[in-house]
Amino acid sequence: MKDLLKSGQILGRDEMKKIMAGTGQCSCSYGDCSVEFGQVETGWSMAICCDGDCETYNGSGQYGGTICGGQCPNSDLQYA
Amino acid sequence: MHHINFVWKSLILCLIPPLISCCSKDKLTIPLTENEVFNQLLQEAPATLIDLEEISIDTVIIMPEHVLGTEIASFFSEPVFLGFPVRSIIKVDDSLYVANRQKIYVMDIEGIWQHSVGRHGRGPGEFASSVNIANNSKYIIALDYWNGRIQVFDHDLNLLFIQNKNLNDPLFWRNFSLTDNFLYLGLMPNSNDDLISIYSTDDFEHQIETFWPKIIPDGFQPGSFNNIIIDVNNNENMAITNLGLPYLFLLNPDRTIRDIIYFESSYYKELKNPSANPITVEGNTEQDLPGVKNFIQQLRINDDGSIYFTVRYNLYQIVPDDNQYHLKRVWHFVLDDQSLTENRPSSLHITGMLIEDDMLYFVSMSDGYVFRIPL
Repeated sequence: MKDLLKSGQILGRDEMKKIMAGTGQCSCSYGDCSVEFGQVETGWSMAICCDGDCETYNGSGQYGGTICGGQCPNSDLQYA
Repeated sequence: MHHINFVWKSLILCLIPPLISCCSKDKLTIPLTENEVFNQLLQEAPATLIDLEEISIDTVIIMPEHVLGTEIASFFSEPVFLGFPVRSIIKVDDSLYVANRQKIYVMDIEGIWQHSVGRHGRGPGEFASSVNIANNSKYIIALDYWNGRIQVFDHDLNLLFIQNKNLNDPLFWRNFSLTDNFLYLGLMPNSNDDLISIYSTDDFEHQIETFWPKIIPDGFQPGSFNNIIIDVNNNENMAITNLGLPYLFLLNPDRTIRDIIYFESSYYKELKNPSANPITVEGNTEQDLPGVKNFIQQLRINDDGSIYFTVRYNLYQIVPDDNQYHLKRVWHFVLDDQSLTENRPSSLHITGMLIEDDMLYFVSMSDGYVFRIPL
């Protein structure tokens, strides 16, 4: 069973937010955390899940931070 | 004396209606929200309160026989690693189809990967990322969110056609459903449209109608309450919930609300979600805006009316009985590998599931396998 499963360090919610720091869409997963971000003309959405808990943000207009420019630790960072 | 009798009779007559109201199944016996639009929805049908902690949880230890996808067919040399949380799993005849970010993988009933289609890109049969799939008796459709299109395949995964569509909400809960007659898209619109769009499966281009109102107007917060989780069974009966709210709506095929279920849950109280009363907020980052924590994450309504949904790590089943739903079972799935629990929680976070003939198939956040468990 052990061989079936990958191991990994857990990143916390705040750490996951930091790695999602471009324009467009990107996603990242690591261990039991994931972040997804999408920016379209009218608004943006971000979902952060860690340890079974998920939190969602939806904003109108352009996202005010730096998005999709960070490093995902397991190279799952994906740009559309 | 006559006057005293009149007063007593009047008093009793005034008291009886409220007493009846509080003791019977009534739409006002569940809490209302601070959102006027949502509260209007809550007035449209009788409501039931279900305490999610009224029965004990069945803890299921995942054993090796529950894990599928550890082998690949000899003619399929490509290693399979699902990676990023897989959004959806479907079953067509005896095969399971699982989509990850760039491919749709096919597994036989023995749990052996057979083949895959797709790769990263923008061409036909390619996916940008965040693929979500569904099927009916004729098609398998893939929501290729970041390419802004729906790709329609036959059951052998031959690409039939592509329909461009504004899929601007690539979050990984179930915000669409496909039946033989209709495609329901619960995606955030760009205008004042309702939140759910309906398309005929004969014409994926033209929207037939929309329903389910935005409860947070454009420019107000918390906008995340407008996210929809929806499932529709083959009888066109629907289950709908707004993200982060402990209410489940059951709709008839004509889209009228038939039942409303309110879930009492200590976990919901722990979430401390913001009020659903629309407010204006300065700023435009996740640091500025009120986020909404998910309550129901995955949702399925089967043809017999039974409903399965997940809240955090738990899977719940509610069933109709004498025209009222009640909680039947609760499961919690745990990995049987103590060496992993030091670095990660052992509970499995379901990110896609289906239940057929009392068999649960699911994929989870980070494990990269398909799990099959008799319920």
